[in-house]
Amino acid sequence: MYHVITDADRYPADIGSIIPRSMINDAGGTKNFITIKLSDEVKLHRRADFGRVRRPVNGRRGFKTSKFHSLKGDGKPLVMSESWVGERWMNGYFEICPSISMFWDQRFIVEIHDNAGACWSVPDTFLKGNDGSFAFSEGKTCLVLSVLPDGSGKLVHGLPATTHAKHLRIQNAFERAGHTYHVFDQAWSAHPIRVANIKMVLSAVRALPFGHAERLTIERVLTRNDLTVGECARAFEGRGDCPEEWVCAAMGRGLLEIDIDRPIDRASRVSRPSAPFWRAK
Amino acid sequence: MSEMMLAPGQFLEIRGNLWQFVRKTNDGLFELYNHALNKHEPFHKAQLTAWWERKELLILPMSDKPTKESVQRNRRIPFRHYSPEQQRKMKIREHYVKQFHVDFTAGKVTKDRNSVATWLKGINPPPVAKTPKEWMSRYQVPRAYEDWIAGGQCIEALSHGNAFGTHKSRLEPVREIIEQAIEQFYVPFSELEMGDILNLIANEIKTAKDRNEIPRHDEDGNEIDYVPCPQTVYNWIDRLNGWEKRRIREGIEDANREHAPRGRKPKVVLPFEEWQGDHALLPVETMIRLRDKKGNVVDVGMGAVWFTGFIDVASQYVYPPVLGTDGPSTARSLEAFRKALCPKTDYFESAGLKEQFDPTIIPQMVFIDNQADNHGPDQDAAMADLDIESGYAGAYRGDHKESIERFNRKLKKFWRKFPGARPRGPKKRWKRPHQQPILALTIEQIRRETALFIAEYNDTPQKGLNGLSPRQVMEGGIAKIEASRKNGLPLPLRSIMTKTPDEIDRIFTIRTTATVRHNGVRYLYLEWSGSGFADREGHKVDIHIDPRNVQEIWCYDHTDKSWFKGFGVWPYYMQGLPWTEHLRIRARILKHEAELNKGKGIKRPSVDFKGRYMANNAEGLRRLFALAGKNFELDRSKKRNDRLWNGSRAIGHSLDFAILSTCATAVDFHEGRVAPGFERIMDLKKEGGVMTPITVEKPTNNAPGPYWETEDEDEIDMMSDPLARNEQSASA
Repeated sequence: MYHVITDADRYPADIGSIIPRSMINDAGGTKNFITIKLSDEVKLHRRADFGRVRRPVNGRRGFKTSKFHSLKGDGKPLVMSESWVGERWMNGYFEICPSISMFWDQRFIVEIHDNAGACWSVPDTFLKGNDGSFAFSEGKTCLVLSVLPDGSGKLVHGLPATTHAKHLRIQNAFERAGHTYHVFDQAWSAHPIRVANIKMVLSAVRALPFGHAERLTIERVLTRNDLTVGECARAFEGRGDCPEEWVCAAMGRGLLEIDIDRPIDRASRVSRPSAPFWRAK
Repeated sequence: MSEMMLAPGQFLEIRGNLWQFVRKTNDGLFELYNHALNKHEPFHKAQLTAWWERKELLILPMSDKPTKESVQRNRRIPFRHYSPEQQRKMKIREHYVKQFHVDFTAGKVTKDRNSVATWLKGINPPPVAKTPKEWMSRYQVPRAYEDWIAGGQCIEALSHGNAFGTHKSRLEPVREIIEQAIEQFYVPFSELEMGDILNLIANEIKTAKDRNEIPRHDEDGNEIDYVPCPQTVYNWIDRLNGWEKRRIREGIEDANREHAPRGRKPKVVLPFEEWQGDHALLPVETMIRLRDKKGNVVDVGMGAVWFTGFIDVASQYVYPPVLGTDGPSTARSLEAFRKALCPKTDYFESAGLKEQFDPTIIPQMVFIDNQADNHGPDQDAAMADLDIESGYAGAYRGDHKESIERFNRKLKKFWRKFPGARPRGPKKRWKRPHQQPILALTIEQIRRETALFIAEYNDTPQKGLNGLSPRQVMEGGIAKIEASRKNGLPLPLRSIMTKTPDEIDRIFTIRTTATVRHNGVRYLYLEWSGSGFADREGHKVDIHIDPRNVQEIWCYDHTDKSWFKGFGVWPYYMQGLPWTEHLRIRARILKHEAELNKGKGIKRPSVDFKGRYMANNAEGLRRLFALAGKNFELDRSKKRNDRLWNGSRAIGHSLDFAILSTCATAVDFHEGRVAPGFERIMDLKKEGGVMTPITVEKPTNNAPGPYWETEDEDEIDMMSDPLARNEQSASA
């Protein structure tokens, strides 16, 4: 037998001592890791079988957890915290966002050696855009209590100072390496209007058998960028009790984008998928 | 003051403090005892008389128990401090109490409620009462009278205890001082005791008084005593904001972490948005009827019954549950879930229910316990096939799935009322539990009663649903969803009918993978064959076993990408046999074989299930019966065994092995043995010692990363890269 060159040979594991050993041991040791060097400062480690590197949140710590099988992933379930501002609606948004073609949760360990020393992190999501670009994203949300001069407190949207500094450091290291790292605001996707819209599109994708014929049908309609859901739904007239559901399913399949900042109805704006959010400036 | 007025044990109130008379000393002094200070103190008669004249001393009537604290507290607040409404109520009470006092001391009425009732008939209603509702009842009058007497026959004693707030606190001028003492000393230095704090406060108050910062005298010219009692200080500490307390004690970081905004979960409004499921042990026992060695019919209790059910959160509609003696397992959860999702005609018919509402809609999310069987691969796969999100409640967090827990409580309450149910456990207080013998019911009875209860529950209006019943809310919700879908708003509504019956059969299954051999596939003693396996020898197939009946399975061939059916090779055994019962029979056989091999040094005997138990119907039956207890000799010439044979429930020509397995467990219970699967301790060495940690020896690369290529591709993409195909064929 000859030796087949694999990723493990091309990118041999080179894991620094600051990475917690528990994550390495869970995967069966260093030999099951590969390391991708983005720059002198930033190294990425992933398991050779591309499994999660961090154990998911679980109920043992008293959290509500939630699990679903993404249509955009690799068949492994996404496990996340189900609190109202937890990762659930962020992942729901990634699932329906037409400009994201695939996403994986907590598959990479980031190891950084910069001027301030060494640090590590496991970003929540690795996103792949429909334009071929990719980004790392960390889901966070927080209300910071700032004390006013009269002694009363006020909740301000933002990150605590230490968390802010940590993520800024990681973002800067990625930027110097020429890659993207963003902190995604989970409260944005957990807004009640967006949640209702995410639910609607998700259920449409799951309910309807959206195949090649439907793909062709909807692409024929998408001639302009100022369409509405009602106009697009005419292409599916007579299919089921709600032709608009097919338009929602098309969004879940990445063919078009419905404005989700206001409640979806027949008047909602429909356009071709925009650039991924980390590219839009 | 005459000396006769004080009897040993009598209470006195001196300047707001409660004292008890102990004895008269040899010097003629009155020895009093204070419970709160735990000290005895002698007083001279002249001293007491002086206080009494200044209205600072009150001798309380002799009684079995000391005066209520509320009365002590209330009578210190002058009548004029109360609001007019409060004053009116106090006057009503005084009206009754004064008349009662006259008649009670004259002996015309006693404190007995019946006596008071007749007395009340001859009493004029109070003039200030607005409605007859405000008149006092036969229960209220004696109580109010006791308070009045205990409080020294003043109207203040008749105020309602919750009246504060209608008057200004006496401590208002020193509020700042007390709050500062709490914030600056008590909270940061938790080792300080209440006495120290009180001293601090007293000093501060004294200084403030000296500087004339606070008023010294009240309207009547009496000096005001501002020092609060310890309980008041504790109350004020409780009033301090939790975040503030934490910030002072532990710093701002900890306080922020502890009191971080957790967000608010919006109310679930639509049906099928969220379901909740749970297992619960019902307080009712089930039994099975057996014939013992001597031929007597005995009822053997099989323990309490497990309930597995689902509830729709928005409408509180409860779906048909699964009830049985086996504990929570994946098979049970799947069965309950299938029952809830699929048409329920059989269920309603079996319980004799007519005109029931039968929703068959797939929910978007199902919340269940965070336990191992709910995380299992089979349940995971079923959820993935149905595209349902699973939610898991946190450990010990019943409030994460409050709806089903609430229903569990109701169902348990219902069963506890049933004659012969298990009691709730000994009540420590109030009264002894009503002892009733525990009567075991048959599982059919329990199922029927539960079904009737659930049907009634679904048709009963609930306060939380605005006076509608769960069924009405669900029907209304579905109507609302359908209407909005007609108007172009695609609210989620997914029927299980969009799946074919075959697909449904494949979804709710126990799954495994096996390689096809010449005689079909096998898994855990069971074998399946059929024409589908022809020409598939060596293929890897996914086996989907229906947990309710292991006879027919679905197989998916990964090589041919096709579905086909397999059939159990021992229909005699497998027809109608639930998966859990097979596992139990298997455990019984393993235990038996291990006993046979005792001392031979065989760790895990390989059991020839086919040859020993399935080769010959009668022989297999005899052996399985023998395992169930030696009393079953299957010699058909004996009349008793013939009766047993005939008495066993038959399905077609074969026996119901599920019943047999249950009977075997029952026999074990009856004979005082431990049935397999009911052992107290787990055998940790069963699998040959400690479980080895999972190591990934050869990582699979079937899931390549997003942007780097892998070179060990097994499959060549025939569609997009024709050059690669040519090279491949050339090298081959």
